[in-house]
Amino acid sequence: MADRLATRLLPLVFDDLDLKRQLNILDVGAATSESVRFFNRYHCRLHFADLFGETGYRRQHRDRRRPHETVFDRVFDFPHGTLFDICLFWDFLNYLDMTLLRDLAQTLRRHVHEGTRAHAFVPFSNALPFPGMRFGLENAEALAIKTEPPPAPHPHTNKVIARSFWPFFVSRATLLDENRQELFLEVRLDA
Amino acid sequence: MFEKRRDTNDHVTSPLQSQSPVASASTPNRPASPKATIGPTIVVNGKISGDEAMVIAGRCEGSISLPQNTLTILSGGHVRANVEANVVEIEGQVEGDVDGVDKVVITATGRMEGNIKAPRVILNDGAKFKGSIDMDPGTAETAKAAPKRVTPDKVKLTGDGRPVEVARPPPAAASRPTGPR
Repeated sequence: MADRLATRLLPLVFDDLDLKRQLNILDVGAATSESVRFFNRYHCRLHFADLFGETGYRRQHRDRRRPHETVFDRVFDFPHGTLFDICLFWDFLNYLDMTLLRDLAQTLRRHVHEGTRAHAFVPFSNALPFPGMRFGLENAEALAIKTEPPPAPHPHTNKVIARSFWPFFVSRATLLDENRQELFLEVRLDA
Repeated sequence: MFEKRRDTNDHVTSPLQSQSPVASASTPNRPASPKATIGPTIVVNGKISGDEAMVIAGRCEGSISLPQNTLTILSGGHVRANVEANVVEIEGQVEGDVDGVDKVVITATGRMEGNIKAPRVILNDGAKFKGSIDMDPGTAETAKAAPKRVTPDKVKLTGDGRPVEVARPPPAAASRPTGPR
């Protein structure tokens, strides 16, 4: 049974969406019944990358890479020209070391635009525990959550994300319970 | 929805399975709503198309086209094909793209890797899916009742997550809607 987590910044992600065209949404986690039900309301293309899963980045990371190719170039097989309007990172960024964090940003640079919004969770302090979780979008203000050990191995604070995740920049941050900080990110490609 | 039965060993049987591995709607004295069935030991390679519902408990590779009917892939069934059907129910495993005219349902035992295109998609708890989902609830509404649909310019969400359509103001009065931003 999933618990619920109230969110204050996720409504910003869905605010003022242009519904004239199909929305492109990236969810880096596994497909959940809650998220699919939520997005059934929208004319959208919803990409579930399932980066935590067996076909995710870990397997690709073990393989030898070609020069200038990031782990995520192989994992993401989006159609050419795909530009995401919304990226839902959940707490995935905290599973990546600095190299992989920059790799993810580099790969996504080709798939975002100046209007892209994103959402992520990071710890407020690296000195405190930051349990691993799985998230489903119950509604714009509440998430279905399940605690899934092990805890995220590379917790990144707000400052690290702000410094190392270009073209995403932290537009707003809010402190939640249990050392959890919620980030609303926007994209600035010319920064 | 489907009159299938599971015995104590969790072996899946369909109403038609006991008659023949592949049953057709032309059999006399058949009850309403016939379903062709690919039995658990059957392997099909190639193109399947038709105008009746189908249940797959075996293995199919190639393509499946049943645009007016329901396709059910039972637990234990394995489809490696591009699929088109009015309703697609996935209890087994699917590798390929699925086009559901009305809807696609992945049940708790379902596993799918590929892309889904359907007006409505239902994913039950426990289902595994990797790929993209193209959803357009407007298509389902149009197909069912053809109501007059106003395409909104912008959307806002209510507390329960329902999108509220916001009409564009006239140019003279146009201003950016205020949000929590």
